[in-house]
Amino acid sequence: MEDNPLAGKWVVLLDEHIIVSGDDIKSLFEKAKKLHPNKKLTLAKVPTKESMIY
Amino acid sequence: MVLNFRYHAIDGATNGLRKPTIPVEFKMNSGGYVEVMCLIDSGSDVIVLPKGLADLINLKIHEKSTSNGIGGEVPVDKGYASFRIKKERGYHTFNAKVEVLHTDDIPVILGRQGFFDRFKITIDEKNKKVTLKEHSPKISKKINKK
Repeated sequence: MEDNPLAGKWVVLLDEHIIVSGDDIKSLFEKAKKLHPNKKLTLAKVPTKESMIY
Repeated sequence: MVLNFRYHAIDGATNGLRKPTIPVEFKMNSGGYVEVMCLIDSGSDVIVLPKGLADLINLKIHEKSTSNGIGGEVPVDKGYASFRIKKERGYHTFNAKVEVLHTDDIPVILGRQGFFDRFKITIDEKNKKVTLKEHSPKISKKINKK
């Protein structure tokens, strides 16, 4: 059972801290860029407890 | 040149879960780069991008096709992306063929063609470390010509 609300979500990190999270990469990053236009931002997908098989 | 990475953790989000991910910067066709934590996966034949990232970097699609995975056959878009990985001084820069899945519910996957053929890769699961050792410039040139 997944108890982490961010599991499986995309997040944008600024200095290793989450500033926005969601499911849609493009809108998420554009939102983060508006908040911090001159900062280096990093996209990451939060892992889930479940095994990942593609 | 050897590049060392620790499995990435996200403060307040990963609850101790860590995967062999490394930071890669993707060139945006509108200018600049976007950094993404990418999963290293020797089981994937190719580099795979989620659709939202392909849209964000405005990736030019050359071909529409299908690919097979454990989940069965899925539609994909194929194109070429430019990447860079930060080194101690400067960047390791390369271009590679990528396949785009029509979903954002996957991480960026660094597969064998275009990534594993550029580095000798060690995944140290016990110590949660990844090491990339660049192949000689001669080998890298040959790969870039493909």
